[in-house]
Amino acid sequence: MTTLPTTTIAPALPPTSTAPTTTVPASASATGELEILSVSVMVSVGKLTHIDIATLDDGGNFRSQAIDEQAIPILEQEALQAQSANVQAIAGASNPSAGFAQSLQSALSTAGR
Amino acid sequence: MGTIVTFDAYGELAGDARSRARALARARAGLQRADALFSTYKPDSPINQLRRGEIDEAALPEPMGSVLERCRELRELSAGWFDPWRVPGGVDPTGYVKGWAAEQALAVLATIAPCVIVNAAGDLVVSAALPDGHPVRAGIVDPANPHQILVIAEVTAALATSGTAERGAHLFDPFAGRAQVKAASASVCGADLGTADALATALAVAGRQGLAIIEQIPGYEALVIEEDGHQLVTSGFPRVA
Repeated sequence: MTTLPTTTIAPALPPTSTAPTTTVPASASATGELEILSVSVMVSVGKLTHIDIATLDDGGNFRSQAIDEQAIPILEQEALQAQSANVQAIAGASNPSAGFAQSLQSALSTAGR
Repeated sequence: MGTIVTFDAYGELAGDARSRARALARARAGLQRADALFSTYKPDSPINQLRRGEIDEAALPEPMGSVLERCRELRELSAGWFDPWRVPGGVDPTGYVKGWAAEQALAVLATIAPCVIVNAAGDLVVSAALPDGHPVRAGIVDPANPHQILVIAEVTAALATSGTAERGAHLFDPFAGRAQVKAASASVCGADLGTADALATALAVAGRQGLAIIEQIPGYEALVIEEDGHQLVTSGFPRVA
């Protein structure tokens, strides 16, 4: 644990569905091994529908790359699940993606209110 | 410790951006200080110097002495199932320290918003109910599939979970004298996250027989998920789904 990483969730995805879609600004922060992870999210009628990596500023860090490629689909699944279960936190999961997922979910649920 | 800690704030933020940034920096510095003091992965950490016998407990910088004192109380409270002294390699208070450090972070951050959640890799503590008055709800993951929520609990203060699904968990049974657990996952909720963390560690090792111990502790409740998926709770566990 040497740096302060920041997860920034920025509105970036263009609407691709026919459902009423808005993007909302939301942010969350986490202390961990990532430097800066920017993800774009799609919010439709106040609900998170899709997550994508926008930028990953990690200085070519291999571990971050692995998180990018492997964990983001898991992150999306967990965030969506947390939202559908109406929970603000995921308990008992030590994998980084769950921490990001619950942070993301809580930021979005706040933004959606 | 390689753990990720997330901070979530709900409701109208208090103060200005600079004061909030200072609070975040202080919370982060506190976590890093805890890591520097207690990490068993850092060869020169004070805890490792103690483990190697290079210094004795009286020589430890504060707050290490009071942390170890609390660990002794928790050893008593858990009827010996949480015992940082009966592990290979010397004293290892990790089972208490993660929750304790998250509590310190919350103490710093609780003023930045009406409701703040600190989640240290699945062990969480909340400052208050959500701004709409509803309690914070936490999804406890299925130990057989950590990407699925198995149980939903209302959290008014702290909730800690220990088990085999936890990264890096090699929980040591102080009575058997070897690493083993009798529950796939054990969750404990109550007022203080360090206490809940230590009791969850104890309960994961003790299994269902440990529920009777938690039942006797005022203000603390527990859930055990066994290897076959069987779930057992104390009488007041705040399960909602």
